[in-house]
Amino acid sequence: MINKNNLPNQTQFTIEDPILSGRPHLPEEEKKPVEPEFKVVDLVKNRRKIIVVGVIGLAFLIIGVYLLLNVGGQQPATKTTVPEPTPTITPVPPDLSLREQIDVLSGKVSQFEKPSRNLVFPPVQTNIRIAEPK
Amino acid sequence: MANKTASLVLAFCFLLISQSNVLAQANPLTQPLTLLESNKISAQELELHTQALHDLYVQQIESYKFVEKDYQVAVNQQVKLGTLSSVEATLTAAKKAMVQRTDVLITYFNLLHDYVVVAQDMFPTDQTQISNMIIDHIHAYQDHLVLIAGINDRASLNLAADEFDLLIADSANISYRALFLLDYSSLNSLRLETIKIYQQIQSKQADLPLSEAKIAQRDRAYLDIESVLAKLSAEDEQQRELTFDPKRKNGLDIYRTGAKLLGNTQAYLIKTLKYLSELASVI
Repeated sequence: MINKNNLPNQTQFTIEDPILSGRPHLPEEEKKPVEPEFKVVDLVKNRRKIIVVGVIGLAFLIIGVYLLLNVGGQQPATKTTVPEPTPTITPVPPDLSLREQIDVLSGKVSQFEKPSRNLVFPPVQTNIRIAEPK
Repeated sequence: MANKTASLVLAFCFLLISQSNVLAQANPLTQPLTLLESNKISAQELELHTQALHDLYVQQIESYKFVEKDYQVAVNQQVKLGTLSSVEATLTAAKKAMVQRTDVLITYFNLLHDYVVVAQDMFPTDQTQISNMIIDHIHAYQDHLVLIAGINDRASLNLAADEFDLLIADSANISYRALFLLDYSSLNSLRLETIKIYQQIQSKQADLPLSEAKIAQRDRAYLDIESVLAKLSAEDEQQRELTFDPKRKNGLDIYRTGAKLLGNTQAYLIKTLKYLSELASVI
C-alpha cells in the first residue's frame, strides 16, 4: 500500500484534482455577537424609568403652575414687608375753601375717638383648672 | 410598576391641590390677612373682611359666656359631689371653655391685625413688627387648640391651662402695644392733614398783595402756629420714642403714657387749627 501523499509522480495531483472543487471558499463574515436577552429587559426598564421621571416632572410642573396661579402672591406672614406708607390725607372735596377745610378738620380733631376703645382685650377667664378629687 | 408609580404620583398631586383648595375655602377668617395681601385687595373688601371678623367676634364672645357658665356649674358640682363622674363632667366643660376662649382670642387678634394692616401713617417698622407679633400669637393659639384636643385627663388639662396663662399674658402686652400704635396713627393722620392745610395757606398768601396791617397780623399768626407746631413735633418725637420691649412687658405702660401724649397732641392740634382759622380770615 503506497501512501497517497508519497506518490512518485508529483504532477498527477494537479491533473486529477479539479481546479475549483465545489463552492468557492470565501472569507467568512464576521459574526455579530448576538445581543443577550437581558439587554432587552434593560431597555424596557429604562423606558419605564423615563416614564416615571416624566410623570414626576409633570407632577412638579402641575404643582408649580398651581402654586403660581393660586398662592404665588402669598408669602409667609413672618416675612411680610410694608411698603413705605405715604402720608395719606383724608380727601377733601375740591370745592371746599380753606376755611371750610379747617372747619371740617377741627370737627374731626375735636371728636377724635381712639380706635383702641372698640378693641378692648377680650374678657376671658384665665383660671380654668380642675381641682384634685377629694 | 411604572404605571402604578405614575398613578400614585398623580393621585398625590390631585389630593394636594384639592386639599389646599378646601383649606383655603374652609374659613378665611381663621387666618390673618397679611400686609401684602391687604395691598392687593380693595378698601371695600378689607372693610367687609373686618366687619365679618367683628360679627364673628361678637358671636364667639356670646358663646364663650355660656360655656364659661357651664364650666362654673360643673366645678360647683364637683366640689359638692366629689365623684369621678363629676370630675369627668368638669373636664368636658373645661375643655369646651378652653376651646371657646382660644377661638375668641384668635378672632380678636385677627380683627386687631386687620386694623393694623389698614392703619395709615404708622411707622413701617412698627407696623411690620406688630403685624408679625400678632400673627405669631394667632399661630400659638392655633397650636393651643391642637393641644386641647389631645387632653384626656385632669393633669394634662391643668398643664395646658398653665401654658395658656403664660401665652395670654404676652398677648395682653402685645395688644396694648398695637392699640397705642393704632391710636397714634389715627391722630397722626389728622396732624399731617393740619400741616398740609397750613402749607396751602402759606403758598396761597404768597401771591396776595397784603396791606401792612394784614402782614403784621399774618406774621403774628405764623409765629403762633409755628410755636404750636414745634410743640406738636416734640410730642410726636416722644411718642415715637416709646420703645416697646416684649421681654419687659411694657405694652400697658406704653399705652398709658402714649394716651397722655396723644391727649396733648389733640389739644395742640385744636389750638393750631384755631390759629389757622384766624390766618385764613386774614388773607
